[in-house]
Amino acid sequence: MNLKQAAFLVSFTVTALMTAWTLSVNAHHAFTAEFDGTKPVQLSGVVTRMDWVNPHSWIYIDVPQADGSVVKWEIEAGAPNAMFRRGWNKNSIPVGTEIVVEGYRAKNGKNIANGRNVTFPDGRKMFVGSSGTGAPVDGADPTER
Amino acid sequence: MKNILFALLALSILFIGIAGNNPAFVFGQDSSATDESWEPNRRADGQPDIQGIYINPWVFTIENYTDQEREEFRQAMIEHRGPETGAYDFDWLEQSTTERRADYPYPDNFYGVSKPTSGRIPWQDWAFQKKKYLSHHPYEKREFFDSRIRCLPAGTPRGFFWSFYNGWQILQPPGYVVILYEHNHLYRVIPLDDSPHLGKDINLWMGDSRGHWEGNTLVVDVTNLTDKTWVIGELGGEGIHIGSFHSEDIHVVERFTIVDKDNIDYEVTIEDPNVFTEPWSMKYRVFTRAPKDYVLFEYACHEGNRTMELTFGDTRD
Repeated sequence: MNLKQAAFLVSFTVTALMTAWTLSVNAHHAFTAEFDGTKPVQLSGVVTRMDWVNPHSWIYIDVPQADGSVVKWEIEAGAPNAMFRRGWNKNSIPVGTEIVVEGYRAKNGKNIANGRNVTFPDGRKMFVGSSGTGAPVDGADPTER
Repeated sequence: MKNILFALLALSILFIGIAGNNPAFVFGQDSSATDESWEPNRRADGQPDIQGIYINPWVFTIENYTDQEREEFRQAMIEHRGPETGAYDFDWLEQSTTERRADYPYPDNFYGVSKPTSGRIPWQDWAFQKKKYLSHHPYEKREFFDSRIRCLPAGTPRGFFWSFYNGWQILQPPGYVVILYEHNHLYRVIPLDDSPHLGKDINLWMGDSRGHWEGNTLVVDVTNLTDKTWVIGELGGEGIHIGSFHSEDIHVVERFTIVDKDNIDYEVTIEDPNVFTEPWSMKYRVFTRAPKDYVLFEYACHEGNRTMELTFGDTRD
């Protein structure tokens, strides 16, 4: 391997790495500003409402507690336009659906989280995806970089 | 040495596999890959006919930052947010940038910053220091936020990068080119005449545009922009682009070149004597025809935008 070939390989590698990295960090709204990557949450609850609003959808769930009480959580989800184009719609998460949400809690400490995964009772998964734009890589998503 | 190079090659293949058909980007070069033999249909007023709905499925590295700069930025983000960034998921992204990546190959000669040859924006020293501070302290105060995050217009040329709201519609009433953006319901009305720009005391988020056709290339001169937008930002770029500001004196010249019946290339030259040391350019394929039945959806950005609430505890944008 001569110097020119080596330089090409290095250049090719760097540009490829940069490309993959670029794909991974584009964001719309500011995870870094709003959510705390050190505070992952896992919530099992029942959907009470879903707002298909821009720039993010929001899922509202009631999370039953051991003492019989219910704690309400608000989950930030993906962009409705893109989600609709992928086949999700208002009927995808009807009120009453039991879901498990994995995500990251809001920095303000309220019961608000950035949704990373939503798992349905039948095992289907919905990567609601807000976390996809700046959230920690935690190995939950095989497509993550 | 040899082992290291083989390791790098293996990494290259791995990441190329992940990134789909992304090209090996080449900074600081400038040549066109247009098909001169293709002849577009004509509108009644003689314009090449480019009406239709387009998407931009190409995510690419825009500027030639060093590894050290990227690492410094990464560490700054870890300080703000916690552990490493990087995950993303398909439900956020249109299929043209994910599962259907292969249907939208990157063209040859796909550049970010094409001039100067360094592949870097030629900032004046003070301006680069300001930009760096903004990118490392992006959420220090609301004025530092990206206009797009605040549901405000993206500006020109920034509104032409790939996004999660990825449709644009081009209309060509006689004497005009009109571009509708799905994102934030932005629009550009581009008169194809020699009328003068607006007076200097008028500033518009998307600027004041005047266009003309040079063969199959639409050339648009844009002035009268505000200083409230960025030339590049996180959406359509990397996080490290945050804060790539400009002044009200920015002058933008866009060249939309029809490549064939489905594709349009874009070269934009940016001049701002208050901020940059010389004019500079970006070049990339900006539009490809949208899939059948693709339409622009409503985008009421303020309706669900809670960024200010979650960042500062209030709802004022």
